[in-house]
Amino acid sequence: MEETKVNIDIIFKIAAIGILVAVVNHVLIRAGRDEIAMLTTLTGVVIVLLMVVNLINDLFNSVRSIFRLY
Amino acid sequence: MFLKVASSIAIVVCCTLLGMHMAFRYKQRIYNIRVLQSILANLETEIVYYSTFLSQAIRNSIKALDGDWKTFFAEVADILENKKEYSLTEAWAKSLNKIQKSPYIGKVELDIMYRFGLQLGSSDRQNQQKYFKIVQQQLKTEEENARQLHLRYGKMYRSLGLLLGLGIAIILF
Repeated sequence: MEETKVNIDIIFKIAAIGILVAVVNHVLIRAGRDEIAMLTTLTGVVIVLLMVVNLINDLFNSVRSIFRLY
Repeated sequence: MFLKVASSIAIVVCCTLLGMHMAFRYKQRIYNIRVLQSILANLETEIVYYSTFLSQAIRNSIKALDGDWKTFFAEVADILENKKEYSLTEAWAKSLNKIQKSPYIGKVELDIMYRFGLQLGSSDRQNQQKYFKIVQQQLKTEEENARQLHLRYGKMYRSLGLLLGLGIAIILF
């Protein structure tokens, strides 16, 4: 039960970050700073990846243990 | 939980204020350029038509105004009145150095004023009037530039401040 709750939380967090990065991107492009807009997008992707990397690790471990690929 | 919410709100408010401050810099720069233009117009009248001493002319022309350039001109007048060993060029450069760090003054205005300082008081009236005209023209162009920058980046900084605050709050939450 605890596990699912944490997962739901992280999904909302990632969604919020995605919306924010989209808006920041839009604002920066409107102001004519395309390079910085690109940089923000990259930063957003990296932050979300850092948040998700543990979960991906869990997923791989599960796959390995299900198919017995030690 | 309460602490978390309170600190998040604090972060958002701080970042918003920072963004507004950054936007305010552009606005204040326009204001400073306008003040500089009127100071120079007053100074031109004092020099060309009244022929007052420079320190007194400066004091008369900054009387009803404010802003960063007023401090600059007051400083020049102070140096001219109190320390007789400084020439005008030296006083000008010294005061410019002092005002350089103000966030509300652009580099272009500083350059314009530096070059103007080299020519102030170095020739007869007609020539001085010409220099005043040239500087006024340059300042007008620069004011237009500053206005465009304000339109372009003022809004951006204001919304970026709020959004960055929200981002940090969400990431840390």
